[in-house]
Amino acid sequence: MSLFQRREIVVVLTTAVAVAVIADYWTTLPVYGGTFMEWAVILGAFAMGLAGFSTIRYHIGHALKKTKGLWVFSVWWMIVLAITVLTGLAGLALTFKAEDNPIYIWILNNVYAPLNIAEYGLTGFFTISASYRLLRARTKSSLVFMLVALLVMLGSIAISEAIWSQLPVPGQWISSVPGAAGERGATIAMGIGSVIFALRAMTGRERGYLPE
Amino acid sequence: MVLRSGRIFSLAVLLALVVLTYYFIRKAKKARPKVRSFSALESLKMAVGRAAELGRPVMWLTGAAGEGLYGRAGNVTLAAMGVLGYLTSLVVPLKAKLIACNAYAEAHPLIEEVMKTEYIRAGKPEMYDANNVRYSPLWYPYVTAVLGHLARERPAAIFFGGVFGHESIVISEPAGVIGSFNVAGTISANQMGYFAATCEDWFFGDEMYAIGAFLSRDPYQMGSLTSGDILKWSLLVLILAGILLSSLGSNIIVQLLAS
Repeated sequence: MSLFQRREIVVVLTTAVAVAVIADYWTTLPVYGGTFMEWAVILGAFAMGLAGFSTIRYHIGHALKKTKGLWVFSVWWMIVLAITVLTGLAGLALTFKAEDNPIYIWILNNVYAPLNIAEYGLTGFFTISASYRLLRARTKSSLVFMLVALLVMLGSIAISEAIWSQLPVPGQWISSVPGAAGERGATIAMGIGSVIFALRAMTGRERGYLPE
Repeated sequence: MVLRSGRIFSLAVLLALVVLTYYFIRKAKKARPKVRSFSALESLKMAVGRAAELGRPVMWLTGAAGEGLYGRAGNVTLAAMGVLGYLTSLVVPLKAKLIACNAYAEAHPLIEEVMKTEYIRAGKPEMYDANNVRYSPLWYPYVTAVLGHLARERPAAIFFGGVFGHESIVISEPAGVIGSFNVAGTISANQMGYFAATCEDWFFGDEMYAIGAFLSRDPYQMGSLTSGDILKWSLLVLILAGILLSSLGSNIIVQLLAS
């Protein structure tokens, strides 16, 4: 059996880097934990290449197989990708600017941003749809959920104050007192849970994300 | 001074946690601690069975709001990968299709490896299809891609794991409309209400970090959960002491925390 199996190498590297980063945060020792963070970003760039390749392979596969209902979108995706990459490279060649490339900025402002905002707008519709399904008070707990949601909503909208100045008060109290207290308690518990998860990962016990 | 000022108390808490964890791991060797079961895990099992019966796929997806594996919440994405491994182990014997959608490039190789490992472990490496691990970066392309997958492939079970922004509702509500059984696992406090409204079951907060230990049935891992519980109770006592002392005009706890 090999002395260092794949999983063991991952655990040893994880532990060494984690100790350096932790020591960097809590001590003034020259352990250069920040350097590892920079390395992580560089490694992430390689992972971006891998993930990008995977996505291109997925779309090329569907385009070649002419998958029903999908191949047109896959072809369109590749056309848009080619336009973005080529115009980006052209902008770089013309302006010698890797950042603040004017062509990219134009695409970002005139194509990406409006689509992004339009999709963002869907949130409101889906929230209403989900609220309708939830607020049918099928059980005691959904009845409580519904009443609390109603009070919080009344505490947030302008019209409730116009109806009666005291109408928003219960909802605002729920948000700022029990709501905030509960959220802070959950945040503390999550922080502790996260540290324990990290300790398990550093000691090689947490294996859910590790390959064989 | 070697230690950075203003961080001494947090270092003391970390060291206490390390000592406690070590102690309870040693103790767990003799008697495995009792850990309550998670209803969401049973729900996932049931949902996968239902998906296989319906001949529809199962989907696992991350949020797009966090900073991936780089951010402070990177751990929760890793924890969600533990659930991915569990889901894969459930779908393989049932010959169901599992699709993993991901918004973080650095997580992509890990997701591929987790799935591949489970297929190999189940003796079905030929069933693994790399095209079922899908990546779309950033919020808007990710949500669009996932909504497209929902519309075309109509998964019957979805697990939402990781850090979420409002993609929680934008994805989970249409998923409910197509008849998917949704289970969420998140630490995003402001999205929990959305998930409560649109999912059948969920892991909230620190439960997400405990799943791996629970699934492994490894006494070492389960022992580590006990130390977390003890620290939570200790901090609760500290908070109550802080409230009491502050009410009496003493700021000793505040000074301690700031040390």
